[in-house]
Amino acid sequence: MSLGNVFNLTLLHQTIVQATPLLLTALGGVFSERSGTANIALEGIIMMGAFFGYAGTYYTGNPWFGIICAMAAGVVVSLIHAVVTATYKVDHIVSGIALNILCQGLTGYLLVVLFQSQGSAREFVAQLPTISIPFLKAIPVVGPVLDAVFSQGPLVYLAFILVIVSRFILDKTVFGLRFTSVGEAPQVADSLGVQVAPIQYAGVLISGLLAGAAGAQLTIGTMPRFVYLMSGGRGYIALAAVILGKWQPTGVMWSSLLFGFFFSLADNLQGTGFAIPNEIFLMLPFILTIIVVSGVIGHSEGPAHAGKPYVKEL
Amino acid sequence: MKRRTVVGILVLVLALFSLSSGAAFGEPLRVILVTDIGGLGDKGFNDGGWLGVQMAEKELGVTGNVIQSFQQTDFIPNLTTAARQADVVVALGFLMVDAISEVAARFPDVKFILVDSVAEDLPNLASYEIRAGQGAYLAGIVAAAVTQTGRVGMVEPMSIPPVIAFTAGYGAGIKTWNELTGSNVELVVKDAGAFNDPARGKALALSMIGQNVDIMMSGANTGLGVFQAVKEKNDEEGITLEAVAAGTRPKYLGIGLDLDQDDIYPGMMLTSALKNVPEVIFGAIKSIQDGTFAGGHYAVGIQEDATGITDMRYTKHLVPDEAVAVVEKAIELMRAGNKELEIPLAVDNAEKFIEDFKVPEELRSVLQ
Repeated sequence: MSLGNVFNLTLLHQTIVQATPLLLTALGGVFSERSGTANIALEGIIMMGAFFGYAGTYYTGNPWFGIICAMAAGVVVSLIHAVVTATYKVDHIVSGIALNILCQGLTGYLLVVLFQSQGSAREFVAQLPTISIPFLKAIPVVGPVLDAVFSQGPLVYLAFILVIVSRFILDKTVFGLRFTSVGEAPQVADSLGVQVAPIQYAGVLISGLLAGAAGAQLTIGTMPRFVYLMSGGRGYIALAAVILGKWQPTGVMWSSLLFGFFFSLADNLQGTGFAIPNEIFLMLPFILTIIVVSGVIGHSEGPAHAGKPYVKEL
Repeated sequence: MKRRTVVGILVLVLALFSLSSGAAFGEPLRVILVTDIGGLGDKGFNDGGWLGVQMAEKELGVTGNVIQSFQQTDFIPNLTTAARQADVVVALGFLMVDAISEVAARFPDVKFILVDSVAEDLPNLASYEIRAGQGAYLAGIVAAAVTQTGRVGMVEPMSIPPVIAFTAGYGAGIKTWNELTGSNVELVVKDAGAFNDPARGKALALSMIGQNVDIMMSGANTGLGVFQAVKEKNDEEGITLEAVAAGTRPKYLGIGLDLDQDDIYPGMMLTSALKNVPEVIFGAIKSIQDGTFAGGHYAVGIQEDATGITDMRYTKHLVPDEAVAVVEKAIELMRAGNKELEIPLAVDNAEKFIEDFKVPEELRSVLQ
């Protein structure tokens, strides 16, 4: 086994590619959790985003319109979650599980109805372009490295720009700070005149918007064909990234990149005859998350009121 | 004396069985295909099944019909309807296993054919499994002969014995080419761990390409991602589908599994290792008409035209004549029932299989 086969430019490029759907979803997860709403429906929302990203592009021939469809589908599903949890105070996990099952069934059903197929839609659609920065490649020595980093689809750039935007919103704006107050102590926020339900709606809808975009990244960003259940657990992995990233936008960026790195490393190690089985590297992110949550190394504690319905006391 | 009685009874029973197949007496066999929920038009197994029935209509004079299922709860009612109206009921794939076993037990006078899965052991129900590893073996020879980097890959959708059998056959084909020509083509294997995750397939294919692999076999929906990576990487090199159609050699090539996938990206798919569903169904219907049908489990391969590789209609010019000659000889040996080339239906450890595989002596003479 040569090290060049493992630590190469593909590893760098793929780390970012594999981190992107996790990062988009996890950023949404931060908003939802910060507002006090646990959203495990993210997995289902990714499925919907993947499907509607594909379908929107299929019918219009325009992948940019596909992104809008994917985000809209994400918002619709998350709206159900918001209504059920913020207005009707249903247990967040129960609602999330129900929505995941709904999305799974719905995408499978629509696949048969719209594309006369089970398993996968047969037609390829237009794909989002790869945006590379032309002069980077020409730079001596570091050129190819920079090119590997900066030749990505638009949703990849969007994800990383949103890290900065989210950080600004959550830390520097009144709107953002209300998330923290609602997620930590809704009764206090309420007594100070912050409307709890609208903030929770906002948090959940943002998570739907971004998880929908993550789904679009899987179809029109990566592989312009829809395959049933193609979300492949990424919604749950993103939730682990939220925890490991300590509910902070920059934190989830690093944790998503770390997950992406381990997954890509495992990909590169497969078939190279390396002594450590690649499955170890696939497990590492989760082991790490458990260690951090249990407080052995570092400390990660979520918003105090996350996952609990807030019922106003009269 | 006693033994003679037993033999006599056996002969009598066999005679009765062949009489009961009825078809010999003029009436054309009525054959009904019950599709799974994919339905006709799936360009996959269901269409393949219908093609097989149509072949039998044309060449054997049976009358064919089809009942489409739209959900899994349709299977038993549809199979029952078919069994009431037909002499032969055909079904395909894993989803049908329980339903066909149940219905076949209720209609002992009707013959049931199941392809690409194993159902219960009943005298009127025959399950056919396809030795697609033989097709993968031929694809391995071709891949080893065509690679420019000396490294070819396999992205297993999931490392389970029937999939590993493809890898085993493929690797044995590569080993064959290496021994015959003294080359040293390496096989790189990666496991996607999911049939339905094309993004993983693509990531693994890109990883392979980063490791200097230029030809990759894969299958199922995960494989679609592998072929997508092949196309994108060619595009990056400025080799578009149009350029390939105009004669440019693609730098990266995919190899399909199960179905003829050469049309996914014409010219960028070297070939596909096939499961020939129509031929298997045709053969099964023929056995009923000939009176040679018996229930049970069968493994069918190249001898029965059940597997093979495509005609490489877009890529034949890439394949050296020597490789074509070796493939042809290998097919000849498989047809003659060569034991070494009878790639098993399921393999646990591809590496060990390939190591133990002995290249048949008859193949060595081809290039001498």
